[in-house]
Amino acid sequence: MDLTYSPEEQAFRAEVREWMTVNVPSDPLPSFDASRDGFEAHRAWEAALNQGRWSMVTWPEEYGGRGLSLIQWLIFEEEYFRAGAPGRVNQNGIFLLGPTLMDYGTPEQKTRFLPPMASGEEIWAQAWSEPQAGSDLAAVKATARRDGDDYVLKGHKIWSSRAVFADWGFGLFRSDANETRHRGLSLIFFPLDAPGVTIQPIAQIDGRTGFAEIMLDEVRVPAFNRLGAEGEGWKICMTTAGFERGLMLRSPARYQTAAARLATLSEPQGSNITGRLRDAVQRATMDADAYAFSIYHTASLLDAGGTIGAEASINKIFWSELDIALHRAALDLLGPRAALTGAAPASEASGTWLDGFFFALAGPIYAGSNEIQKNIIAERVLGLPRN
Amino acid sequence: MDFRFTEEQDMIAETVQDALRDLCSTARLREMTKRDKTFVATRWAALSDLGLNGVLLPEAHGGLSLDEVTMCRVAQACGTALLPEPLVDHAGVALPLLAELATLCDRPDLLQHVSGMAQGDGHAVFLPPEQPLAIAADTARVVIYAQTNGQILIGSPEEFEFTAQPTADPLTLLHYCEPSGSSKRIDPSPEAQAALAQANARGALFAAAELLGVAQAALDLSVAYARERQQFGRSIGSNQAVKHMLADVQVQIAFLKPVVYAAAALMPREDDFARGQISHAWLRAVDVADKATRVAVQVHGAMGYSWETDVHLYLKRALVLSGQWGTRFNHERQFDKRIAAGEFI
Repeated sequence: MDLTYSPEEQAFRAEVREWMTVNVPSDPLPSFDASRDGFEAHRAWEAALNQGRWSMVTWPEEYGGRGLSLIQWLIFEEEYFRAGAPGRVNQNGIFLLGPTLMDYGTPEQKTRFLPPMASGEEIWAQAWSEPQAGSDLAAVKATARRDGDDYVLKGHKIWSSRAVFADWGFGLFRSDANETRHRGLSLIFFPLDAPGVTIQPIAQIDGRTGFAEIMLDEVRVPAFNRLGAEGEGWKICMTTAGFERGLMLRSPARYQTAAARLATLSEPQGSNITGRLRDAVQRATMDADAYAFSIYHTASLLDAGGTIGAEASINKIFWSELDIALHRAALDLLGPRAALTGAAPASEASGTWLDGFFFALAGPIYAGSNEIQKNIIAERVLGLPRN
Repeated sequence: MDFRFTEEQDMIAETVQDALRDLCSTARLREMTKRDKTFVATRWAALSDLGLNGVLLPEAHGGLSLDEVTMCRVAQACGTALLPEPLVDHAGVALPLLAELATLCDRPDLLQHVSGMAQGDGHAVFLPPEQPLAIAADTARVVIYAQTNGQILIGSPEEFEFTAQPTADPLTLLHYCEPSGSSKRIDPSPEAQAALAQANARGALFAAAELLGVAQAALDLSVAYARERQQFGRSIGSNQAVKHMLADVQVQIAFLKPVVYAAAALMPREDDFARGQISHAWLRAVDVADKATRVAVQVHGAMGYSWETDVHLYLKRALVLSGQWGTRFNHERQFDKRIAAGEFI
């Protein structure tokens, strides 16, 4: 066990830091969920990252990466958040579908989809949930009918993040009409501008259209767009969910940066902060440290050839709860300014905390609600009976 | 950067777990409570034969010269087994401290005690000024007593006065200690003070590791009971309310482990970040063990409130350990310095 950075790791950190210092835009970009302009500004940032080959440092070089270890990825993330770099508009692609493609895709699929994913030329939305299939995802009704070399997609997807402005969707479809539940499902990609696709934006709790409904009416896509074997969709989907709950989507740096900002926010109030609020400020750094140590441990195991299983559910509960507690504490510190939006002249930084608070509230819901995660932990980690 | 255990660390952890499974089963512990015993000499000897007394001790003094991470694994196993004898405090804190002080002051007489104890012949206790209470202090071979003025007294038990202090845990008898005779004094040199600080930090770290072991054992016991116990024609563990309660404990334990191991691995740094993580480990361990043992009582229902099941032994050991090696207040202040230090690792 060695918790020191090697000279190579330190040099890598310095290299990332230098690049970020030069390249991170000095003014924050407009939200990628509020307007096409904001979305395209983020796409341009993805292109700049890719230009420096920083988009996905763990990917093999042939797909636009640097073939680095997960520990190096953690260092990259620490520097990324430290620099205040923009949010990753293509997170559904690079953090969720990308790693899944790496595991299940054919060489042709990887060559076709990974490089434009890394460069932001193709930005991805997920299409899993349906009106009657939320926590009970195996209840999906959308179908993929095989027709020669094509699939014809039909159905109604909902809560699809980024679908309003994105280019591609990946979703779970029933490819075998005779099967039910977890069987007979396939994971299929479709262009969001294909004939038969209708996108209906949905305003989120903050008023921005961060997700959408997708209506698919006889949408024809080549069978090439199916990831993995026909009928293997559930298993692959769970792999993707593992990435979403676990390691990739929520790197510790996000919370460490936020905890440090919270500590700074509390400083001017000094000893006026007492009791629960004082505890909350301290707890934020502790939990962020605990999460970071845990992920460093997991990354070390994965770098040495290990695998991640139901730990992803454990991680998801921890980071989602920590994120809410941290932002709630910030709002307490802001006092009368807490409820001011960024548009309020007196808000100063409070609008950012408010945005973060609303974003944090989604954490215990997406990627499988925390209640479902607790069932998974109880049944698969602890071995308690299903019913 | 490689946050994995070495093969040697895994091997020692397994050896200790295996040995304790047999030597320290809860059936044996119950027998002890019936006879009001808190120390079993044969078990102490068996653990000494494994070389566990000398885990942290330099090879020059007959020890194994291993690191704090390894000692954490040992302490964790002791917590899981509810080991009553003071192996963790002796091997993790008092014996290495004695070796260091004896070397600092060039005291061959004390070094002889160190070599003897490395072979399993007796144990040492360290009593910090804010906590002059220790397990089996009255039967120690050497007592190290730190005074609030910085002076350190080292002597045999005859040179101190002990008052037995029964605790809620029937397997833990503490002794309050006061100097009475002409103990040898060691002056508060900066080196001696650093050695004391190191000993206190180790005490807190290994208490955290022991609490982690207690918490894990309490969870395992609860899960086994929840699977087995039938109500309404099915096991109570199939109810979501029970599942979620146990899942919450699992989440907390999962995030305690890396904090304890990281604090151990960072120990040699001795800076505010490293010391802050020891306090973090202690604070988190106290909370997690409290939660895990109280959930164990709840899951066991009325059985959990009875003397007859093992559940109360875990709850009470957690209670005793949570009062040792620092206070919530001091550890929170220590962690404030980590926040002020800024950078991670």
